[in-house]
Amino acid sequence: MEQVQSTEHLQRILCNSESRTIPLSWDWRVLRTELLFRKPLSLKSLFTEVDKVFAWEDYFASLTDQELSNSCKKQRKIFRCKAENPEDVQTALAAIREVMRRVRSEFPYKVQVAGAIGILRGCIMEMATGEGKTLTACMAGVIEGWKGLGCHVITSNDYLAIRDAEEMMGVYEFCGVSVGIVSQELESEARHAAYGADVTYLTGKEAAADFLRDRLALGSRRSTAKILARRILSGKTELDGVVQRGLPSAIIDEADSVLIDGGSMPLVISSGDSEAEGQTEILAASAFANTLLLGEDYLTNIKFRETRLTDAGREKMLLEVERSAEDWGSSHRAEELVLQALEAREFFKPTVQYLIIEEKIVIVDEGTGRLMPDHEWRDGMHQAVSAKEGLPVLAPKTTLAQSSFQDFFLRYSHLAGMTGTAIEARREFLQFYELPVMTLPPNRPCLRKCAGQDLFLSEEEKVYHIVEVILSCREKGQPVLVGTRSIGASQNLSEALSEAGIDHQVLNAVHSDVEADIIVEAGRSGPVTVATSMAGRGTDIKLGPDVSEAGGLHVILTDLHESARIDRQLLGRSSRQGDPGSYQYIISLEGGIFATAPHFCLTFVETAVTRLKFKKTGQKIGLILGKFFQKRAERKSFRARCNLVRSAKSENEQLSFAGRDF
Amino acid sequence: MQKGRSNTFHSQWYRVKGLRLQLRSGLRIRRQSFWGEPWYILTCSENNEHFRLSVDAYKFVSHMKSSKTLEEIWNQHREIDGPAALGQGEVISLLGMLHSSNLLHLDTPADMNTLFARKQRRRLRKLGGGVSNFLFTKFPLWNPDCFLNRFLHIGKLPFQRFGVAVWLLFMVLACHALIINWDSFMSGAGNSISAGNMVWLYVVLLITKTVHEFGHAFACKYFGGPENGEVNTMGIMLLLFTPMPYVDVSSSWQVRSKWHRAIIAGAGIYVELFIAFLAVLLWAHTPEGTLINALSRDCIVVASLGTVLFNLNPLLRFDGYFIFSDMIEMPNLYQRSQQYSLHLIKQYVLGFKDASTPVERRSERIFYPIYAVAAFIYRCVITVGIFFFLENSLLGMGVILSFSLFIFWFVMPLIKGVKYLIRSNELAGRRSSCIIRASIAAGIVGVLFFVLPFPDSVVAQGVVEPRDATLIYSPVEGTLDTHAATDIDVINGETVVAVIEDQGLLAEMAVRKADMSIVLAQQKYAMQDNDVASYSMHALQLEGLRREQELAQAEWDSQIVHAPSDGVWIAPDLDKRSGKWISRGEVLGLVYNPQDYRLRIAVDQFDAARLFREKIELASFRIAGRCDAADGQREKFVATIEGSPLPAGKTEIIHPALTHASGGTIAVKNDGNGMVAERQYFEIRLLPQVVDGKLLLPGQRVWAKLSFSSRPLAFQIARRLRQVFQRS
Repeated sequence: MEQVQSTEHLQRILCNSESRTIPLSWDWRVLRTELLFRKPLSLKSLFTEVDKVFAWEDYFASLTDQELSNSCKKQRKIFRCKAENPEDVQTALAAIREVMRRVRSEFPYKVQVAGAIGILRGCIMEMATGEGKTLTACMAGVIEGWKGLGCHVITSNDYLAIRDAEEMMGVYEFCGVSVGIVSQELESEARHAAYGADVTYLTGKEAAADFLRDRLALGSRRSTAKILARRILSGKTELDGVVQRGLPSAIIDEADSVLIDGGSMPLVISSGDSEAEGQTEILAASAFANTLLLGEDYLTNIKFRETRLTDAGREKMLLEVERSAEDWGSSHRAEELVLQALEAREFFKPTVQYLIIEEKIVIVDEGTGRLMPDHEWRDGMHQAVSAKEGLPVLAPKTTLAQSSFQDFFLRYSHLAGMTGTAIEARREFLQFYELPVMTLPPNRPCLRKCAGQDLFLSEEEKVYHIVEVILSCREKGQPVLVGTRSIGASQNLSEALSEAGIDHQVLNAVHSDVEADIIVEAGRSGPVTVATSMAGRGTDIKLGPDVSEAGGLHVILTDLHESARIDRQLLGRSSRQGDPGSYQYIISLEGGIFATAPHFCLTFVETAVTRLKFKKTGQKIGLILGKFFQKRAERKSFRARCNLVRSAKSENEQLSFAGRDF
Repeated sequence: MQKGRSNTFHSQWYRVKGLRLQLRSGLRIRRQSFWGEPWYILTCSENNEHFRLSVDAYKFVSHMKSSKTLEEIWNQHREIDGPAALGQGEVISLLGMLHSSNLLHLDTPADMNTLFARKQRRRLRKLGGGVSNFLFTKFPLWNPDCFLNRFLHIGKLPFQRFGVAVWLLFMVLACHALIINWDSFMSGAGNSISAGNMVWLYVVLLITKTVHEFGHAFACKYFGGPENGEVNTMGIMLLLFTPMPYVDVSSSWQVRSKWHRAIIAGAGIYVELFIAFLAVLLWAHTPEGTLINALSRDCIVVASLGTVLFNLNPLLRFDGYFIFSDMIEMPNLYQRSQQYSLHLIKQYVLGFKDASTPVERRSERIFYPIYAVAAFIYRCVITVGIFFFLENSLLGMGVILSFSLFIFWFVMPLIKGVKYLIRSNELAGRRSSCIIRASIAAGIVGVLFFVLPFPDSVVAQGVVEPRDATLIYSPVEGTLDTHAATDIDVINGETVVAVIEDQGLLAEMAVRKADMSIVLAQQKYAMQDNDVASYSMHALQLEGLRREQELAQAEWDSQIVHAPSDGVWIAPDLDKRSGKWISRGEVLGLVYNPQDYRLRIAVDQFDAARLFREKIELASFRIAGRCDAADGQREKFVATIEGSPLPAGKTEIIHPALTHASGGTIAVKNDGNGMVAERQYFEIRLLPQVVDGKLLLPGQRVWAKLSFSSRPLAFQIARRLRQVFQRS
């Protein structure tokens, strides 16, 4: 039995690397769900199943701890033998519920049980923010863990992975499921052990990176026949340097962030040694680019983040190439470099896209607001930005292996997840991952109130208004969370608040070390927290005493993000689990999302807002336009992701002579 | 290989940089120049595939050695070739293409899955291409190389001096024979294409085309030599569902001289024409009406007309196209012209400002659009032509053929265009504006077809008839003595149109005269005798006889027939009856008013419905036939409608001039009681408004055009199609 299973694992390591084909256009599945609204699992049938789980409540409640533990062991055997049917799952969930009540004195709601069932069926479950997704994941995780093939519970960052795992450790232990945690600093041995556990908590990045490293370690032995032959010849069952044991099942928390926003990102394993090439060129290009004038020598296209040299600019460049002693290579290469330098200048802004920490460019993830210290932009962009900032230009590292997250996640045989915001991206889930999305109703009705949507012409007016709102909230004793779009914006706002004499905390990637403390404070009566989107996902702001009476947490959105899902996540920090709460949009026309708007839209809104009579209407129109441009940005990034998959596909085809990649 | 903007560095380079690659062994590389630009052609002799490399690409390829890694090769390439060196992206795409053409030699196993997937896709595409291209599906059957080698000593004869001389000799003979017998050839040629001899026509076609293909094959062998003259595939091609032989002489592309390449491509036509010459001689020396004679006439038509219309036509992709595109040194003329036209559409319709033109040379810029438009028009003509050509004989076939051509040539590109608008990456970001522009363009075309009215009319044949004609019957019986000539103007009561002589009456009158003189004599005698009783009796007798004589005289007088009214006298068959017996009441001829005709138009029953439903705006006609007359016989005349169309359809023939036999449009059949029309038709009468009445003659055929109110083209086409289907 054990032997068979290990061969199976082996094959998994080797073979479930078949990436599935992704339909990139409308096909019947999309049509079916989009047009006919047919869901793979109806809410009604889901909740009848949940009722059956609840029917077991009394039975398990009557058991002693020992009996419950024995029952869990029995169930574990059933699932390990793969004899899985709906009844088994129902009893199992009922048992786990009881375990949770005893260990954590939390008794999962119907919605959470429904979420667990949905996850076991391979759906993306949309659950209202603050519904306790950690419990849901744990329930599903226990059952997947019982199967013994290993289950990865994937969260968006290390902090959440460790927190969730530690919180749920007791439940897992009671159920007889071993838990492993993989975090960034873990050594190879410990990693191997963590992956060996029944359930492993980790981030998507770690999972994918380990997968790639394993593949590298396997090297040319990447075929079943070769590994088996080796095993027979050497008698060793272990594969050296390989830490994972296959990719059988994954439960993804914040699935939209991990699968969609992060999905198209390439994950690159690079070696420390670098190709010493082209540094002087890059510096020269950067210096030369600084002499060029926007509009005269080059043009920019904000919508597509493109720069283009005009004829005059090109001539200048050719002169420069001829004149300067630096080795520019061909004029073709020179143009490439100059354009890149211009792009770095025009589209890459400190505190928005990156921070400079210890003489190094550190990328900021615009979606999560977090720092990505080991990441680099590709194709020389990182070098161009470094050159622009006058930092030492380090040569790009040599790529050893590369895969996109999407490609990686598609290798799991069972993929499911949950998030607070999925419905906007349902088409993408379906197309890229073949995952249907289901929306669960909130456990308790949401008490979140809209306190107004205001649009201002300039940043100053906006900030002034924000300060006013904060002051009035403070009087009521209501905590305030101000969401900003970038680190720079959060810093600016913080300065303004300091000037106004308002005590506040700033939560952004720069201060990520004190994140937990700030969040604990944020729910108390009175404090003001200025945060980037970092405060969005998974941040559970617990309300202090008396705060509920004051109206709960008040969230102010000061900008529309590139994706409405990020806004929704921020809003979801207030009024969790039936708490009261309110939110407010205070945005300005100078804000980020309006940068891509056509000029006439802006002037139209401007004239409307400046006329007192039409102020309200103008603001409304402005907000609607803002949402529209947000939608457009979402669509654009969706298309960009599609194109990425497409081009990766054709690239792969072209590279078929290079043998199989990861 | 187009050189576009591609990055010097490529993110996937790490996957290939350690590879050791080289070109596969057994490839032949040759330099060829097109418009002075050098290219390198890689040829794989096993499967006869060709791959064209630019100079830069060739430089890179020439560095490839299996002892070096790709990284080393690339660095070397950059060092040596400097600014023209390929970027990593270009190298990858070049190698990818070489690999997909199986021109690379790899040490490591390639990605089998991708390879299989590609094979699968290629097969699918082939199948898909087969489906869309089912009008030109090819089935390779036989490798004729051995055969050709063995018989080359015979096969090469036509291309040597002696062969050409013989060819010219026969050409002269055939032309001579044809010119002599031109009239009889032309009279028979029309019968060539009809359902009846379709099978024979096909057999002849098959034979000539087989010879044609062997012409190509032997020419390729002869001019290509043992090196380039490999002919490895022969088979059957389903050309518009008709199995035809074909041969693959793509190895001729390696022949250096473009004249030799042209000869190879034209060899088929060359030998086919020789067959045509032979057929002319055969036809001229066999009696008309025999099978051999008919077959050889078919053969002439196929081998000359078919060759010129199809094979030599550069607008279709047969021999002529290849010769043409090779001669003007524009390889892949068709694709390139399509590409460039698309580019123009993108630039001017979709408003691409920054699209880089795929064509640099000025001559090409002018030539490609012209070629594309000409090819498009030719396609339209072919599609419609096949439809109407086969409408009468093989309607089902014609419909299928033109329908599939329509789908293939018009609908599929349209679908592709829509797909492009919706999906293409190229449009990302300006898609909406492009869709709007394309919709406007489509709207203009739509307005042209669906909104803009175009003249709409029904054309039908009719016959001229005098409006008020007086038939003249013979008042007496007797032999026709004299009669007036047809076409003379006659005046009421004065002109004698015919004289009918009754010899009996004359004799009777003579007898009576004699009787009278007897009675007169007897009366005189009685007077002398003073026999009063006898005298009075004779007087009475005489009186009676005189009356009789008067009556006879009156009858005699009425034998001279006068014109009853003013007009023109017409009696076409009276000549034949001169001196013959004419019974009383027989028609002699008629007198009609030459200023006053009517046209009786027979309108097909499918068009007739419109006569009742819609208002005829304008009726005009022209006289059928007699195109020889230079005095305005082809002129159009206006007519007015007389009354309303006769409400019932009929099958009896208005006038024999309208039947097929006399060159009319009505098909007739014999229903036992005489000839009737096969299909019902409706009659409408027109009054011509002719200034000079002499132009029209009764019994003449005319083409009448009944114009209805103008309608958009689309409706007209739809109606026409409906009629064709109703008819079947």
